[in-house]
Order: sequence, then structure tokens, then C-alpha cells
Amino acid sequence: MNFETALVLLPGLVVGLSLHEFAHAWSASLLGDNFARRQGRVSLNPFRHLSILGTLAIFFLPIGWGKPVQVNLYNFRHPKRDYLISSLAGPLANIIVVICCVALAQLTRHDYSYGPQAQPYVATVHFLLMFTASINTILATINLLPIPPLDGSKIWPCLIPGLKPSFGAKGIWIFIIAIMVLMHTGSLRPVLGFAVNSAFHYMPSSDSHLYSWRLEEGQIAYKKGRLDLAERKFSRAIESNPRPHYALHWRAIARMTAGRLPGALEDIDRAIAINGAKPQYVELRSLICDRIESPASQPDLRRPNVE
Amino acid sequence: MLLSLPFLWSGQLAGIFQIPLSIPLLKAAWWISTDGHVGFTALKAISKLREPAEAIGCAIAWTEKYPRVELSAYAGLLAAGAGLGDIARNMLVACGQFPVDRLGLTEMLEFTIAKQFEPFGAAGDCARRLEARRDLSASVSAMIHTELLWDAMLSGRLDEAGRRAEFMLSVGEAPPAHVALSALARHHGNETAALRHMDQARLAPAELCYYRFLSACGTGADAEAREMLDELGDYNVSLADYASAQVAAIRGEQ
Repeated sequence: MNFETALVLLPGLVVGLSLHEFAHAWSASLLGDNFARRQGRVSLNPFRHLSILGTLAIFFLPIGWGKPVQVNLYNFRHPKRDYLISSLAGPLANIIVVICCVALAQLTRHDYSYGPQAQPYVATVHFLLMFTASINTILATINLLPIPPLDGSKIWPCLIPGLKPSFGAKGIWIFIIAIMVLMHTGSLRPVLGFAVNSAFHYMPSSDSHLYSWRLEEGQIAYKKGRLDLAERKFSRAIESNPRPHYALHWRAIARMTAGRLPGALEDIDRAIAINGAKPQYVELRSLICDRIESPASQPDLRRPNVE
Repeated sequence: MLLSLPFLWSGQLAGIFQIPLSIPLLKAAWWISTDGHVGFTALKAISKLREPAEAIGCAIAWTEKYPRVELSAYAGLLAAGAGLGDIARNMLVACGQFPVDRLGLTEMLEFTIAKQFEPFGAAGDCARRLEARRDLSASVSAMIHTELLWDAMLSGRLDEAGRRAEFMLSVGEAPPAHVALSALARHHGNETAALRHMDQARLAPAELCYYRFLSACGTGADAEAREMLDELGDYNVSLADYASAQVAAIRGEQ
């Protein structure tokens, strides 16, 4: 994983790991086991939960881990049931983080509505919310795998009669290495991909993201000579941005190339009205005007230089 | 703290391969961080590589300069393991001066001292006192539940012993609980359950004899008790002496 991506994922990872471990400790404490409280783990302070190696791992693996919360089953009234609840609490905390991020993203998705001053900040917050939701989806999914020392390995013995809930530390390193190998080789990608894609289904894209995405699609279509498709894509981009001068400029180019010169002129005039008389806009406008005034203003498939 | 980790990790790694360099690395990790948890981890590794006396000396020297509850408690446990009761008690006193012991080693030392250096009833009393606590580590809880199980068994409170054994098995692997349940099942005439539990009691031969002796004494199976004591004597004479003294002491109290 490159350094920039890791840095973007880091806040979500810190939030996810801290809440995950806090949830284990807090639920155990509520169910009667105060050992985690004694260890200072019933706290939202990330430094109580983050392990140095587990946090730095995000720069090498697509995941990190915190210090495991030690649970004493002897302190529970119903060891199997309570251990199950306390083990599920961690992944559940991550799922709650995902739900909260998706809910908050409803406030940031229409980033253009906050005005040009605040828009970049709102877009950044939206971007961070989406990354936090993604990494928490991954954390919840990985932790439900039935491989020690992940939470999934503690959950299944509590559900299957005859199995003992506690798992000794013997041979735990073999499983940890196995998980790292699985992560590194991408063997877990189908499972994680399914979970992340399912979560993404509910994650709203921001208007600025939709604008850039549609603009890019329009540019690709234009470069392939599919002018009608390009115009439709630029039109959709224009719908998602209240100041779509760049998309208007591109739609003007597409329209001019297709010979729809009045529409092209209208678009470039709107672009100039929004963003001022930039040299490239003025140049395109004069080109369109020349073609309108020229008697042979027929559809001209010779595209202007847009590089 | 951060700076000490490369020393700690490389020291631990060198310790796995028994490379002599591991000791200076672990000591350096402690002196750099002076963190109790780092010191405890370093001491654990040192005690595996060197004689207990050296690890105890190391811990005492470190705690004199930077008092840490983890170091005092672990030094006490090492001293108890080496039969040095006075040092273990001094370390327990030192542990009492710290407000917080996050690892829960103080109770382990307290119980170990009661079990090893006090008269027989002391461990039971200590276990009963600690049983009400809900902030103990799992290893201390396992020790006190085992103690209370055999205390109930040898005191003739067989129903309570059965309940305790069942609870221990609901928590996790507990071979001594299987031995107790096997004896109780045989006592109630359920031979099938007795054999099933005995099959699941995976213990070293000497330990198995020891617990079977205690179970037989508890359920009044005197012939089996004598047989087990003889067999235990073949494996470990001192454990056999300890077992017979333990039973005599508890029966003497009643």
C-alpha cells in the first residue's frame, strides 16, 4: 500500500480499532468482568488500545490491529453466552461506525450546496467518512473470520455445543502468520470485496465526486468520437454542480464538433458567465462564432485541439 | 517507550534462539523505557534464559531505581518458585504500595505465597477472599477456582464441588475438574460418566494420581486413595507427601 493511501486510511483505522477494543472491554465490564476495566481498557483514549506494530502495519498491509482485550470468563455469570456477547461487541462497534459514517455522509454528499468556500472541506470530510466506513467494514469482516486470534474464532465455540469457548495462546503465531499471508496474497479479497462492495452500495457519492466521474466519462466518450454519449455525460455532470464551467466548456466542445453550434455558444457563454473570460473559453467562443458566421457552417467532425 | 521496542523485540527474538546477546538487549529495553510492562516482558525472557536468582537480582536492582509493581510482583513469583518465601513476602509488601496493578500479578503472588509458604488452610481462605473479586486475571481465577473445588471436595461438600467443577468446565479446559466429576460420578454409581470424565482428564501421570488421590479421599474411596498415593509416590515422593499432609490438615480442621 502506498504511503498516501495509508495516511488517508489511518484516521478510520484509529477510530475503528479504538472503538472495537473499547466495545470488547465495556461489554465485558457490563457483564461482570472488570479485568479489562482494571487494565484501563474501558476508555475511548486511542493510546490505551493501539499497538505500535498493529498501527504501523497499515503501511505494509491493508489492515492493522490493536492490543487485544483480555477477558476473564470466570467473572461471567454465563461464561459462554457472555463471552459470545463480548466477542461480538467489537465487530458490532465497527458496523455501528459504518452506519454512523453513512448517516453523516448524507450531510456532506451535497458538498456544492455549502458554497465555494466550504466545499473543499466538506468534500474532504465526505472522503474521510467514506474511507472510515470502508476500513471499518474490512475490520468487522476480518474479525468475524473463524481464525484465532480473531473474534470469529471465539464466537463459533460459544454457539456450537460441546466446544470450549476459551482458546489457549499455544500456536497462536501460526494463525497470525497465516492471516498475514492470506492478506498479503489477496486470498481474502473475495470475502473482503463482497463486504466492502455491499457496504459501498449504501455509501452515497458526493456531488463533487459524481461531477468529476461524469466529466471523466464524457471526456473518454469524446476522445472515442462518441459525441452524443459525451454530451449526455457532460449534461449529467452539469446537473450535479451549480458552477459547472469546466463541464460546460467540454459540452461546448462536444456540441461544436457535432455541429450543434447554437448550443455550443450557449454553453461557452454560461461558462464565461460563471468563471470569467478565461483565454481558452474566449478562444473556443471565437471559434464557434467563426463557424456560425461562416456560410459553410455544416457539421464539422474535425475536433478542436483540447489538449 | 517507542525507542525501547526494537531492543525488546530483537531481545525476545534472540531469546527464542537462545543467543546470548538477548540479555543485554532486553536490559537495554528496560533502561531505555523504564516502563513496567516492558520490564516485565524483559524479565520473563531473562528468567527463561538464566537462573531464577539472576532474574530476581535483576528485578530487585531495577525496582530499587524505578519502582514498578509488575517487576516487584514478578520478582516475588520467581522467588516463590525458587522457594525463597521471605523475598516473595517482601515483594508482596512492595506490591501493596502501588495503587494500580494492571496485570493482576499481585493477587497471583498473594495466592502463591498462601499456597506454598503458609499452613494448608491459608490458600483456601485466600481463595475465598479473592473469589468475590471481579477484576482478577484469568490465571488467578483458574487457580482460586481449582483451590475451592478441592477444598469443597475434601471437606465433604460434594454438591458444591460438583457445581464448581461444572462451572470450571463451562469456562474452558479444566482437567482437574474432570477428575473430580469422575470421582463424583463413581460415588453416585454412574460408571459410564465416570469413565467419560476420566478419558477427558488429560494430565501428566503424577498430576493425575495427585488429583485422583484427592478425589478418592473426598468421596471416601479409601482403597483407591491408598492405591493412588502409592502410585504418586512412585512418580513424585514430595508431591505424595504434600498430598497426604494436605488431606490430613483439612480433615484435622473439621
